[in-house]
Amino acid sequence: MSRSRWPALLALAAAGFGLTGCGPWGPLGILAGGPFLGSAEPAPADWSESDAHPLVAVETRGPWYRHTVTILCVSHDGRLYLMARHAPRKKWVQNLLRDPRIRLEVGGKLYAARAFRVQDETSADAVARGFLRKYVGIEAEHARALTGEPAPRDDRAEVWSFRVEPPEEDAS
Amino acid sequence: MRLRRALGWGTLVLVVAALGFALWARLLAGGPVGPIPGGALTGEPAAELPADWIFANQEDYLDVESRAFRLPYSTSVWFMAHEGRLHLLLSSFFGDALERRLERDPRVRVRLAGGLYDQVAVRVDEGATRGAILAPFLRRQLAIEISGAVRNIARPEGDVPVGMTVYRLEDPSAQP
Repeated sequence: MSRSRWPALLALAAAGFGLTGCGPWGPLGILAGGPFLGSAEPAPADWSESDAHPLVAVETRGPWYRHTVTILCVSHDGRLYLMARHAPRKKWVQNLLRDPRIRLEVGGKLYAARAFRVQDETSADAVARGFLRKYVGIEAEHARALTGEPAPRDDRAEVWSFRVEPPEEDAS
Repeated sequence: MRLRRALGWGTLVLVVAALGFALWARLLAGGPVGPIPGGALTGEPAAELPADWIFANQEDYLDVESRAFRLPYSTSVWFMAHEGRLHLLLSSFFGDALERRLERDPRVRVRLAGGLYDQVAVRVDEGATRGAILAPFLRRQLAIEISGAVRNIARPEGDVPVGMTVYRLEDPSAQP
């Protein structure tokens, strides 16, 4: 290969690597990715079985392209909740606030749904208790989710949760 | 024919770029790159260890390096300065690469504000100590406030194998 081709190939490699984040293969482990390949099936009426999976992948719709990430989730009363640490900084959270349509990959299956931020404290507390059971393996006598923005000197993460709802055409 | 050739080249370029990036991160980046593990941490070795690490809590993650195996390994983890000491919270759903290394060799190097500090990781076992440390950890990392009695729950067989392990970092000179 002639020497003059190397800069072009290197630039192509850099661009290619940058584009892997938008490729049609979903997230790669903890690395964000592009849209999922394949079509979604109807979301289950009861999401309890999702607790058998430590992580799920969610695809959100950005202004230009679809973005996928691997995230934590818990079920409560058959409904599925997604959790976001440092939520205001997350691209997938920003996408969700703009457009609630998502696709979820749970245990190798793809589901179409929508996700809305949980605003009521009762649901947020239930999600917190579900998280403790699923991810920490404990039950606490009292557990509550600290919602809202942390105070200026409070070093806790800002955590938001989102409730998964059926897609619009199934919402009735 | 031309399209197939272009796709072939494109794939090759992507694979080479990904491998090149992974190698760069692991050997030359001077630490983890976002969520991607790195090699030896670069920074200024600290002349002395702080008496209280509370200043560290302004960071979201702590870069930790282990040399348990031949190749140095570093990653960013959830952590908290509590009662004067740094503590790590390792979640199994992010993998167990660091935990395996700590079990083999507990000596670690941590990086804070560009300074490098040598520490020794001591696992905080089940029981009252773990319960006491979990509450502030859950508050800081997950915005969950717990109080009152805490009990471990048995998981159904075949259930998701997740867990969280807490390590306390101690000064090497304090070790027997």
